[in-house]
Amino acid sequence: MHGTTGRTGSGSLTVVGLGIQVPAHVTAETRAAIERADEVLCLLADPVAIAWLETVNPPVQPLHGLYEPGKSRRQTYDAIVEAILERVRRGARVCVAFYGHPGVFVDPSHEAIRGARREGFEARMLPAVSAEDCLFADLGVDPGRAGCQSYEATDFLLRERLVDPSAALILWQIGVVGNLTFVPEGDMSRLPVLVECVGRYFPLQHEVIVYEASVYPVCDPVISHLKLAELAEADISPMATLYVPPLPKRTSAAMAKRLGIVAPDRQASVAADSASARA
Amino acid sequence: MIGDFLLELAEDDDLLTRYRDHQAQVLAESGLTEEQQATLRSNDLRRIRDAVRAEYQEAKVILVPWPMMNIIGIQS
Repeated sequence: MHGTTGRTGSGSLTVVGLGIQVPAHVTAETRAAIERADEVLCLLADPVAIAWLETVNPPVQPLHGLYEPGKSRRQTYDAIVEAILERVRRGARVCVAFYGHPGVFVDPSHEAIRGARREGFEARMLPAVSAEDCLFADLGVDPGRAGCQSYEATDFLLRERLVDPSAALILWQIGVVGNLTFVPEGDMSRLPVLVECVGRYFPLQHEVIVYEASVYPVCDPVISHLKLAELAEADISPMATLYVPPLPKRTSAAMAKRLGIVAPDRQASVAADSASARA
Repeated sequence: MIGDFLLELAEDDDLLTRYRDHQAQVLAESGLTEEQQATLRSNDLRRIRDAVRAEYQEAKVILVPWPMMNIIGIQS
């Protein structure tokens, strides 16, 4: 149940994401939603993405004007949500396009969906390619192998999140860590605090990766390997993400036995035996 | 403009394939200035992004993907 309710013929809301590389990451479902809309709003991080959106269903109405340096996030989000809902109330089929995945690290998209449904309008969110999807592909890491912890960097610090170092750790938006206002140029002044806190779980000599997905098909993503200790002094883009690879951890032989699973050491030898057998 | 060229590449799979296989030739035919071509050849994401944003001075974009997430319980 998507919260679709009465008001047939009245306004509706579809929230979509254009992915990171536009239009390469735009799904057919998302493109169709944009084409069908009466009004297209957007909050995008790249001018080329807006230019593309304009080719699909003009005119596009960017919401960027609601951002102001120093203005609180809460005020900005409320204004974004109201701008969206106001159009839905007027009876328009509204499509709002965000960069990346519209439901990942984006409060106003979820709030707009909830608000529209509360008021009885049809509202839905379509999935899209997130920056995390790009990270797994570009770094060649599988979150299913050792597990993965993923936090917004400021949230990570404020809540003093507990970390399992045997699973990977991803910290988003390290380029603005510790700053809750709008800082277009980024703010790296609190990176030493981040290094200190991550260093409670990982050795300072542990190799980490500063990552930034490429938004253009003509260049590679940014993938910088460095020691955790070097992070605070590194030249980091405001859009960078930190990937901390997991530390090794042995499986529990006792738990394997309890579960009736072949002990890991035995499993390895079985696999080796199988490989030998095939050869 | 670099932005126009990137949009063209993004929408034309054949052109993008040619760009990847024969970058110099496609750039030479692009009508871009030497400086613009050098920017694209740099494979430097930050340099290309800065160049695109300079072209779109009035661009209606967020300059950084400022976290669109409220840190619940923190007044900001």
